[in-house]
Amino acid sequence: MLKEVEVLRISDGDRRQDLDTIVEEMPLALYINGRHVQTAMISPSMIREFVIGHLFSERVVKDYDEIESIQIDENIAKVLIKRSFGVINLKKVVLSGCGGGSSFLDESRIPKIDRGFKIDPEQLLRSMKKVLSLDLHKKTGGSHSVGLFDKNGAIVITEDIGRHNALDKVIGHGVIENINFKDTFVASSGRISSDMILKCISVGIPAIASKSAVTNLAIEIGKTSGATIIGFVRGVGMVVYTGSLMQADE
Amino acid sequence: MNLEKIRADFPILEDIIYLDSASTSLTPEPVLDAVLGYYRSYNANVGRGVHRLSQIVSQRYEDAHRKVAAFIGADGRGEVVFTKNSTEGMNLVASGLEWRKGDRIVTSILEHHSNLLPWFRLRQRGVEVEVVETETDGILDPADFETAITANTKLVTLTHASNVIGTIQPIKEISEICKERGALILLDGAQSVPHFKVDVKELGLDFLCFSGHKMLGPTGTGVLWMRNPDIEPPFVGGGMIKEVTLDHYEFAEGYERFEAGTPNIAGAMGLSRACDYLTDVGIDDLRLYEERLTRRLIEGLLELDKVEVYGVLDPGMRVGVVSFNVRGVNPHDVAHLLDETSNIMVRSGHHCASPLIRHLGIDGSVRASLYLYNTEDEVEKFLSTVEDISKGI
Repeated sequence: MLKEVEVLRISDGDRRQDLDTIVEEMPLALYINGRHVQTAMISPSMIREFVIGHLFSERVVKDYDEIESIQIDENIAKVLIKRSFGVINLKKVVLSGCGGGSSFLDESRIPKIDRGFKIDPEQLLRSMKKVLSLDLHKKTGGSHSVGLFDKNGAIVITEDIGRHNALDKVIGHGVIENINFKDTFVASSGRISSDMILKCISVGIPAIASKSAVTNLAIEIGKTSGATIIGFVRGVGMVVYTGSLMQADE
Repeated sequence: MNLEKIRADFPILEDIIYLDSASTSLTPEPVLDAVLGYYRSYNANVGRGVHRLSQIVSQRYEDAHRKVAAFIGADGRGEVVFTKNSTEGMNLVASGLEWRKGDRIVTSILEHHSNLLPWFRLRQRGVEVEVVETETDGILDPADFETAITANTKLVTLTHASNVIGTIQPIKEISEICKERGALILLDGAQSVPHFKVDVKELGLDFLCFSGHKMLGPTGTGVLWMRNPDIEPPFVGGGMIKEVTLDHYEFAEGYERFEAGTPNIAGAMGLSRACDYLTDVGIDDLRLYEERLTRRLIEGLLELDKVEVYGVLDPGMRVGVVSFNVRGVNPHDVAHLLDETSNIMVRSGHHCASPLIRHLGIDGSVRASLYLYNTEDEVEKFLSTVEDISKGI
């Protein structure tokens, strides 16, 4: 996940050769039923989780049983899906974030979330602290971290150069562990764009929070679907864009 | 075990009673679907193309090896190679190991010809073959191997369960002696792998051979598992190489090294599905069910005056392979009459194990063998027919 490289460091007119810690990035070519459908640039960890999470969050599959086989060989992930071997048209390069993500989700068919889910703001603040305290993020400043939580605390927290990838990895972990997503929420270091919220609601995660900003399209999707979206979770405060928080007496 | 559901997968059972599974088992519909599915939906060669079908079939073919490996407790351990049958597996080892004059092989009187002839032929190269015998119960005594396995013994090769009398052998005890003496051990699992859990690690094996067609898979499918796949491949040619020039070639790693030429791909898909089928049924439940049927079958035969049953009688110590004779009636005639009068299929003769038949002091036997699709009613029908035959009715 981490690498050291030689750099020229310039500071206040001073120049010196130095070592710098950087994050690793790898291309992962995803093949579905024998066809190359995507190449994703990801951090080299939890690759199986990423593949599974990606298939779910992009709604290629809805059920774990639909995945017949996953073979991961260095930079290639080969997946067989149990259905006729028709073309799954998804081919493009996914960048590590910044709108390069998703996808073929049909936003007019946004899934609906049970509006009853409420986050405890105190737990959310604690959760966000945990998410932001990961090593990679601290050491390099070059990664995103995303955590999946339920009322008992963290189920999994992971880091990746891309926030979409990190989210796919936690979703993949949840699928493998057979987690009931409707009782969970996601806390992310990266901003909440439409594709981030869409990934969550695609698997039934009812709430997503970020330490940073939220886009207008994400809010629209949040309202349509009933999902909770909270931004700028920092220090002791937060901004609730959609959904509602748990009251102190709840 | 849902017997009704299982039997629905074998429509042939509406017309006959099949008690010859030790020879070859019947094939359930899901296995047939898997075989036809390959030809219908993704018919292509493996490991040779970049096109979509080739990618799909290559992945499935590789997955089939993994599935079979998991079935015998060999996940990530050693190498599963697909063969035609057990016989080919044994021959691969016989031809692939390096033999020197004076090397010794220890086998037993219980063996199928396929676990004798590959070794007997090595006598031409100065290899000695020692055959350990059993008492009439048909169960090997590990103590005999303490003396039979000498410093020169390179390989001990034994059946797990006799294909004639069904007796299960104390393989773990014998494999421990092999380990102490530095001898390799090969297990012929043709009659065991289909009927109870066989774990290569637990048994401490070096080689395991078995046949797909005795475990609900298609004919022409078999498996050789090797703990250490460092034997010489028997065939060279397409599909098993890493690199070829006019004066040099390098073999591929893994199972491909031993599977030259286009393999039986459809068969592999069927075998893989058969493993799933048995796993879904539950191999432990299957074993308990077969034990119950075997108990009744043996008890019923013993109640008949003119009938003698061979090997240990305790169903816990054997698989559902039961050899018997009706005194005064040729075994082939018994088999013929069972079919003629009651549509019951059994095997008769020497069962490809002539030395054992001779050892038992007989010319042949009738063999009834059970599997998961047989029923108590079928066993009763079989017993009443044998009774009629024994009474000359």
